[in-house]
Amino acid sequence: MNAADRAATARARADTYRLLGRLCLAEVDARLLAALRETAELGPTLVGADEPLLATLRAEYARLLLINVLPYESVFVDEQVMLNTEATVAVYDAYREGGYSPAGQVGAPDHVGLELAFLGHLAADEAEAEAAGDAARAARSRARQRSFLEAHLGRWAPVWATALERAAEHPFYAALAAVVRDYVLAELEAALERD
Amino acid sequence: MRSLTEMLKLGAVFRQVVETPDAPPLAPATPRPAAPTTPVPTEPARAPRHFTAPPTGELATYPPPERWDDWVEYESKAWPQKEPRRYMLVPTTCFNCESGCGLLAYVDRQTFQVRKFEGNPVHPGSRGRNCAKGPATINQTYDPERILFPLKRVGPRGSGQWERTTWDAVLDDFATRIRAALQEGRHNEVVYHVGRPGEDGFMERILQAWGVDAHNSHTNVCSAGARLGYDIWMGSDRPSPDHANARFILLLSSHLETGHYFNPHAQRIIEAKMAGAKIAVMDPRLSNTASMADYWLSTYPGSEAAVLLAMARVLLDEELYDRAFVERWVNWEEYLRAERADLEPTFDNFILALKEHYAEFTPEYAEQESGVAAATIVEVARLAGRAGSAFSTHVWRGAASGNLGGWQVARCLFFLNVLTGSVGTPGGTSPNSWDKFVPVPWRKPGPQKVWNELLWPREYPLAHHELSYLLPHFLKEGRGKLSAYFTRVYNPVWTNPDGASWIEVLRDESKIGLHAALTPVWSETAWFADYVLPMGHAGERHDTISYETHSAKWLGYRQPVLRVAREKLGERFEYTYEANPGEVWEEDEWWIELSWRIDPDGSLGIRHYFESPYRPGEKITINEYHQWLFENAVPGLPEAAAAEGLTPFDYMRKYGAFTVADKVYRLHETPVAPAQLDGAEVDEASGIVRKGGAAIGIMRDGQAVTGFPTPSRKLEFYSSTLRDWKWPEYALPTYIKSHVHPENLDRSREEFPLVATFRLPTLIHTRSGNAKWLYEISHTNPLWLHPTDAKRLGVKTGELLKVNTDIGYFVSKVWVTEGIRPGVVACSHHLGRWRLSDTIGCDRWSSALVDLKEEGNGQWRMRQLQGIRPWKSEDPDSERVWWSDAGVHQNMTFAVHPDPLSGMHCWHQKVRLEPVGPNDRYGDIYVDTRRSFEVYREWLAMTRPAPGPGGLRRPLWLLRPYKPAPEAYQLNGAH
Repeated sequence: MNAADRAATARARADTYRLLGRLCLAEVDARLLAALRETAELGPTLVGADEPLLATLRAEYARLLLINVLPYESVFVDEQVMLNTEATVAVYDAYREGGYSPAGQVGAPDHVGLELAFLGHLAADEAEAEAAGDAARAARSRARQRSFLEAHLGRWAPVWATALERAAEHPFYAALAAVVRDYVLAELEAALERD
Repeated sequence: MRSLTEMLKLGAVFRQVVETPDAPPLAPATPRPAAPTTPVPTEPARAPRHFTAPPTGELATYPPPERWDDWVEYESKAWPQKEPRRYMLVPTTCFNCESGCGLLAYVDRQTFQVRKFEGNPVHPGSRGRNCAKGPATINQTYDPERILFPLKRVGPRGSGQWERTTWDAVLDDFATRIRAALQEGRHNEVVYHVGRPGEDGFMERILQAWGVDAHNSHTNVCSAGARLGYDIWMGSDRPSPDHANARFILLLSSHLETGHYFNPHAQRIIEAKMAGAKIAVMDPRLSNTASMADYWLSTYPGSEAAVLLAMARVLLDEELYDRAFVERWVNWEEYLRAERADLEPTFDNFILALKEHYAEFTPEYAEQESGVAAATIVEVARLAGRAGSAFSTHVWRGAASGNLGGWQVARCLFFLNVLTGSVGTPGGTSPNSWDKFVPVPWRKPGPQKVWNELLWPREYPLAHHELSYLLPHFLKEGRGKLSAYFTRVYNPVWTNPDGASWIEVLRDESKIGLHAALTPVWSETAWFADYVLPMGHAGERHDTISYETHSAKWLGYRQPVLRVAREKLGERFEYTYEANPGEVWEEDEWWIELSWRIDPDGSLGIRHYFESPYRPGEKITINEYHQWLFENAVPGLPEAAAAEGLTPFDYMRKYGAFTVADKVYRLHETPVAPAQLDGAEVDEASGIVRKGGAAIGIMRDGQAVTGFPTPSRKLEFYSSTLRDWKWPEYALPTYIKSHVHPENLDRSREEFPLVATFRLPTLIHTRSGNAKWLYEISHTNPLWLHPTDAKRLGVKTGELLKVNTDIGYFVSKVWVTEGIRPGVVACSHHLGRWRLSDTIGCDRWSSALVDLKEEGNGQWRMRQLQGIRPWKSEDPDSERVWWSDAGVHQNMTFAVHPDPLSGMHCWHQKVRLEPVGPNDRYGDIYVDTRRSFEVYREWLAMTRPAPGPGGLRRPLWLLRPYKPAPEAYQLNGAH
C-alpha cells in the first residue's frame, strides 16, 4: 500500500468512526436518515415514511442512550459505577494529549460517541500525515489510536454495544450496536496486527 | 464477523451528510440562547504540577478557608503512594432535607470533577457536621441513572415513552401558554407545586411578578398542623428552640435522627445533654431520639395534648409558672372580659380561671388517655417548671400531623413554654421569625390581586397552607382546571395520600393541560408528566436559604460548584448549565428565562422585574441577582466583606454563609424606634400602638415595645380569631380527641392506630432515591408490632400481615419489637418506591418493579414483580447490590383526612390487621378511589366555611405564603 492508499484508508476509517460517534451522540435527523437508507449495513432497518420513523427513532434513542444503556465508560469499567470517576479522568487526559477538545455537554467526556469521535480525530490526523509524507507523525497517530483502543474504547465499547443490541427494540439500534461492536473489535484487531 | 472494508463504506455517509457546512454539529444542538459552547477544559498536556502547600501531615479538623482555593490532599486511592492532588473547595448548601446544612465540594482543579462533599466548617447552622445525606450528594451528582437532558412525552401520558427535547422548545411551550392565560384572565390555571423549595424569596418574586396566586406547597402533608398551633399563639408559625442552652428539653419529635432541623438541632441537643440537661421524648415509638432521652413517654397516638394539659395543670397547681412573664405577655385580660365576665379582670382571677378550666386534666386522666404513668407526667412537668426560662420544646410533624386536631398539640406544647416564661429566652423557645433571615430582593413585585380557590378553598379559611393534596378531588369536582402545571421536586403520586387519585387526574388532559416535572431525579409522578426537566442538585444551583437552627440569624448560599470553581480559574459562563453535567439547568435561570419569554416586549409588566439592576433594560443574570442581594439586603455583610478586602458577592462565594445576628433573645421587648412612633396612636383599652392602621407595638410599663405579631400584640392564650371564625370551642388550648382515639376503634376486630409519619435518618422522601449509599443503609419499612400483639395475631418477625385501611389495603411484613407501645403499629413512609418499567422510571437502587392495574372504575391493584436486584449488565458494582427489599408503599392506601381547621392531612390511620390469604404477596396494594372520594367528602363536611367577619376569606393577620393583596381576601365579587 502506498502513502496515498494509506491516507485514503485512514480517511475512510476516520469518517466511519465519526459517523458512528455522531449516531451515538444524538438522534437521527432527516438528512442522516436519507443517507443511511442507502447503506447496506443500516439501510434495511429503516423502513417507513420519514416523519413517523424519525419520531420512533427519537423515542428509542432516548430510551436506550439517555436512560437505559448508559454510554459512559466509567459505568462499565469503574467499580464506583458512577459518572465522572477515575476512568473518566483517564479518558479526559488522553483527549488532552491527543489535542482533542470536544464541544458540548454530553454528560461526561467518556461518552462512547466522543470516544469514537476522538479516534476519528486521530485517524484523520494519520490521514493528513500520510498525505503530507510525514511518516513519523502518521506512526505517532497510529500508536495513539492503538493505545486508546487498548486502554479505553476497545475495552468496554463492545460490551456496551452488546448490551445495547440486547435492549434495542427498533432494529436500527440493534444494527447500529452490532456495527459499533464489530467495527471497534476489527479496529482493535487491525491495530494489534499492524505493530 | 463482517469485514472492516465493508464497514468502512459507512464513512461515506459521514462525508456526505455530517461533514457538510449546514450539517448538524457533532454533538446534539443545545438550546443555549446566545451562549458559546463550553469546551472541556484544556490545560496543556502533562503540565508540570506545582503544589503551593504540600500536605504536611498535621492533624486538623477542617481545611482552613484561606487555603480553600488551592487545597492539596493525598489521593486516597493511590495509597500507600503519597500522590498529592489539588482541589478547589467550594462551599454550597445541602439540598436533601430542609435543614440547609453547609457542604464543601472538593473540586479537582485539573479535571473539574467533584471528588467529594464534606461539611462546611464556617456554616453557622451545621458547623461542619453533616448526616449521611450530605456526603451522599456525590452519589446524586454522578448517579448513572440520572436524567441529564430534558425529556418530552411520546404517546399518551404515562405510557413511558420519551424523547429528548430542547430547553428552547420547553420554554417556548410554557411561555406561550402562560402568556395566553394571563392575557385572557385565566390566572388561576397556572400552578407551581413545590415539594422541597430549598430557597427563600426567589419563587415568591417570580410568581408575584406574574401576578398569579399559583404557589402550591407540600406543607399540608407535612407541618401545617403544628404551624397553625404556633401561629395562633404568637403570629409566627414555627418554634425556634435554643436547645444548646436548655436545662430541660421536651421533644414531640425525633431530632436526634430526623426532622426539622435534624442535624443542626441534634448537635445542640447533645451539647445540652453533655452540660447536664435532661431530655424527655413523647412518641409511641422508641425512636433513636427516645432511646437517648432520660424519659420516653410512649403516648397513645393523639393523646399528647391531654398529657401536655395535665403538665400545665401541674405547673399551675405547684406554682411553677412564671407569674411576671405570663402577666405581662399573655392576653389574659381579653380572655376574662370575653369569657369570664363573672370575674374581676385580675391576674389572680386568671390563674383561678385557668385552674378551673383545666381541672379535668388530672395526671390520672392523662394516664387514662395516653397510657403514660401519672407519676411520670408529674415528674416531667416538674422538670419543665424547674428549668424555668431554660426549657426548650419542639413539635413539627409527628403528633401535630397525625391527628384530627393535631394543631392543638403544638398549641398545648407551647402553652408550657408560655407558663414557664421560656419564650425568647436563652435555653428557651423563640418564634422562628426571630432566627430566620430572608433578604428582600431588588424590585420586589407587589402582592397578587387574585385568589386561587383551587389552592385556598373557602371551606378552609384557617388552613395554614394550601389544600395541596386535595387538588385531584377538587379537579374531579369540577372546581377548575389547569393550563400550566409545574411539579417541582414534588412527587404526589408517591408521597401524598390517595396517590391513585393523583394518577387519575394527572392522566386527564382535560383537567391538566400541560405538566412539567422539574426534578433532579426520576419519580412516580414524573412518569405521568408531559416534560421531565432535570434540575440541579446541591452543587448545581444557586439559592439563598436561612433556617431557625438556633438563636441566631444566618444566610446560607447554595452555589453550582463546578461553575464557581471554573470561574475562579478564569472561565466565563452565561448560564450555569454550561458547567453542569449534561443539560442540567440552574433552576433560578429557568424561571428568569421563562418570565422573559412570557413578556418579551414588557407589555404585561413582567419583564420589568427581570431586568438587570446593573445593565438597565437587559436581562438579569443569576449572579447579578445575588450580587445585588449581598450588596444591598444583608445587614453587616458589606462591612464584613470589606474587612477582608472582598466584595459582598465574593465573600459569599468564598464562605457560603453569613451570620446576620447572633444570640437573638427577647425581641418582643425591643422598644419601638422613636421615628416609627411619630404619628402613631395608642389604643387606651388594649395598649396597642397603631400607625396607619397597622399595629406596630404595645405599651408595657409606659414604653412602646414590639410585642408579638398577633392581633393583641401578646401571646394569645385566648384566640378571638378562632372564636370569630366559628370555632369558639377551640379558642383556648384544647385537647381534641383524634380520629384514631380508642373510642373510634373496634379492638375485637383487631383495629389499630397506624403511625405512618416517621422518617428514617438516612433517607429523604423521593430525593434520595438516586443515592446508592443511602439505600444500601436503609431499604425496608416493616410494620412495627408489639410482642403481645404479635403473639395474639400469630405472627413473627418477617411474616406478612394484611393492613386494611379506609379505602383498601397493603401487605407488609412485621417487625416484632418492644419499641412500640402495645396496641399501636407504625410504618415509615420513606420506602416503597416503585417503577412500572424494568427499564425506565425510578432508580433501580431504590425501587421495585410493579404491575399497576386499574381493574375497574377507580379500583387499582399493585403487585411487586421483583424487588431490587443486582443489575443484569456487565458492570462490576451492580452485582454487589445485595439488598432486595424496596419496602411497601403504604401512602397510596390512605384516604385524605383534611383537618377542618388547619387543613393538615391527618396521617394516622385506623387500620384492621388480618392474616394474609393464599393469594396475598408482600407489597400488594389495593385501593378504591371512589371510596377515597367518599372519605374526602366526609371530612369536608366537618368544615365551617368562609366568609368570616367582614366578608373575608381568611383572617388578614394570619400568616399565608405568597400573601395576596387585601382586596383579594374579600369573598364577594372576588376572582
